[in-house]
Amino acid sequence: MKQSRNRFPLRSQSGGAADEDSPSKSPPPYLTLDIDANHNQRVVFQEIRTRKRVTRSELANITGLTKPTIVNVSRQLLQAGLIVEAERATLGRGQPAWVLELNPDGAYSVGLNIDRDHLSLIALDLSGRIRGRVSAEIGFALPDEAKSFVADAWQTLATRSKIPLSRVAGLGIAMPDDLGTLAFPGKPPAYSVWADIDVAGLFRSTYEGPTFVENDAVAAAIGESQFGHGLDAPSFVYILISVLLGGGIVINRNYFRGENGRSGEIGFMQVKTATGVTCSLQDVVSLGALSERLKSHGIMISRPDDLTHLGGSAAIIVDEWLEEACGYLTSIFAQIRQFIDPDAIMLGGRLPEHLLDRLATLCQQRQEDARSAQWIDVRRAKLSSDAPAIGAAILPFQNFLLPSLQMLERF
Amino acid sequence: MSDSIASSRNSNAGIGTNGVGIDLMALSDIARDMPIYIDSDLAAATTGELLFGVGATLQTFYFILLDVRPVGGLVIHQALFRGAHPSHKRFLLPDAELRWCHEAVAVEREARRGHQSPPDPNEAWVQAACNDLLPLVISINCLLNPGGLLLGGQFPQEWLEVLAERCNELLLERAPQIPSHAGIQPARLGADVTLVGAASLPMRARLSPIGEALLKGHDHGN
Repeated sequence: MKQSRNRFPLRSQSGGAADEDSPSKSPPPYLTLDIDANHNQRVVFQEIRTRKRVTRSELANITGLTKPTIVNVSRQLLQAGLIVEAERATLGRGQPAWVLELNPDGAYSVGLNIDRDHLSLIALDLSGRIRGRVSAEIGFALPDEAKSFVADAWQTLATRSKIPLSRVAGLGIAMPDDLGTLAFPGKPPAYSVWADIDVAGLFRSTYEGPTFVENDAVAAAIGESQFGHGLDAPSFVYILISVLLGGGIVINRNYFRGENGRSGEIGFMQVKTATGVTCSLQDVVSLGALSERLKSHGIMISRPDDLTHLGGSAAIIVDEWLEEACGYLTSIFAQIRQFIDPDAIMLGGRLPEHLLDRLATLCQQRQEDARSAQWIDVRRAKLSSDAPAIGAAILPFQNFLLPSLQMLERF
Repeated sequence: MSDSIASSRNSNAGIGTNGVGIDLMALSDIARDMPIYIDSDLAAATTGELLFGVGATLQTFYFILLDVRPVGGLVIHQALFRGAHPSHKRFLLPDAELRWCHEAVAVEREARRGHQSPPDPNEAWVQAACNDLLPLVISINCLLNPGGLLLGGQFPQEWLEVLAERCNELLLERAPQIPSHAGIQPARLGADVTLVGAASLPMRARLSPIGEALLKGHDHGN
C-alpha cells in the first residue's frame, strides 16, 4: 500500500469534535487523536470492536495484558472518543464493572473507488456502517474528472450525512493495478495518464489529511477481514468481480501481499474454454465479459444495476453465463485449495448481489455434485457491493487503529 | 506421513501416532528421554530448506516436493502455511498419470543403489514434466506472487536443475502477460531434502524464531 505521508498523524492535539470544529482554534483539516496507537492499544481496541461489549477484567483475560495496562489503555481510548462506557454490569461480588463499547462516531473515514466504469465515494463510521455514498457511472474517467467528482461528492457527503470533517481519520483510494496501462476494450489513449500520476496528491485540494492508495481487490479483502466474514474465517481468498476480475488473500487475519505486492492476481489465472482455447479467467468471468456477451446479442447495459431488471432472452443469457462462470471458477477454486486451502472463498464486486449469491450457490452445488472430499466454503462477501470503496475507507482505520503483523514489525 | 504436529515423546504419546494408528514414539527405544518430532514430509522438507537451503534467503516461497505424487506448500513468516485442513495432503496433480515422476524416482533410487551418477534426462521426459508443471507454475505466480518457487524431492538433482531451467524459459514464453514471474530453482538439499528437514525439526522447534508467534496471544479469535 502506498501512503502519502510517513509520519503518524493521529497524535498531538486533544479535545472532542466540538472543540476541533471551533473556528477560534483553527482546527486541523483532519482528525487528530491523543493516542499512541501502539500495539497494546490496537489489540484492546480490536477486542472491544469485535466483541461489542466487554469489561476491563474480561479484556485482561482475553489479551493477557495486565489490568493496570488495560485501565491505562482504555482510558486513552475513552479520551480519544473511540470507545464509551455503556453501562455497569454486575459480575459477582464487588462494585459493578463498566461495560466498554465502541463509539461509532469516534472517527470516520472516506473511501474512493476509481475504476474503468465508475467513481464512488463513501463515508464510513468506526462500526463499519456506511454513512454516506455518492457514485457516478463514468466510463474511463480521467484524473481531472475524478478530481472534480471528489470535490463535489465530498461536499455532498458532508452536507447529507452531517459528518464533522474534523473527525475524518483519512482518505483511502482503491483502484485496479495497471489502470492506465492494461489493454481494455474502448480505453481511450488519454487514459494512460493514470500510469504516471500521483494519485494521492490528486485530491489534496479537497483533503489534506492522510491518504492511502491500494489495489481495489486488496482493499476489498482487507475490509472483509476487519468488518465482514473475515471475523469467522481467518484465512480466505476474496474474488472481486468487477469490470475485470481481481483477488486478495488473507492468511491468519493478515493480508498476504506476496513478494512484490502482486498476489491475488486471479484474473490472470488461465482456464480452458469449451472450444479448447486457453485464456485468462477475467476474459470470461467478469462484469466486462458478461456485458460483452449481452452486447453481442444486441442487449446494452450501462450500469451493473441494469442486470437486475433483465427478462426474457437477456435473463437466459445471464443464466448461461452464470453456469459457465461457475465451471471456470470451480476449476480455479480447486487450485486455490491445493495451493492455500483457505477457510473460505468470498465473492464480491460490482456484480449485483443476487447474481453473486446465485454464483456462490452454483459453485457450492458444483462441488457437492463432484463429491469432492475437500471442498471450499464459497459465499458472497458481507461487504460485496461497494467493497473496494468500503475497503478503501477501512485503510486509515487499519493503519492507525487495528492490529496487524506489519504494525508489529515496525517496532 | 500424516501432518501430525511435532511433539516430545514425554508430553503426549497419542500425538506421536501417524495416520495409520502406529505409535511411532513407542517404536523407538534409542534413548528414552530423547524428544521426538513428527511432521509431514512436506513440512520437514520446507523446514530443511528454510534453515539450510535456498529458502533461507527468501521471504516467501512455494515448495514443490516431487515424488510419485507431488505435493506443495506456501512458506510465509518462516513456516509452512498448513491451511484450513492441516491433516489433508494437498496433491498438486491429483488426476494426472505421472509417469515422468515414477521414472525420475526410479532413476534416483537406482543411481543411489549402484553408487552411480544418474543419466541425463531425455527430452521427452523434460517435455512431459513441463507440460504438467507449467500450468501450476503460472497459477502459483498469479495467486501467490512468491519470492521463489523451489523444486525438491526424490528426483536426481541434475534432473531438477534441467527441469527448473526449462520451466523458467517456458514461463516467460507462454505467460508473458502475468504480473509476476518467480524464479524457479532446485532446492539446495536435493533428494535429501526431506531427510535433512526431518533432522532439522528439533532445531526449528527449539531455536528458530517464528514470526506469527508475535501475534499469537493477541488473535481476537482465540
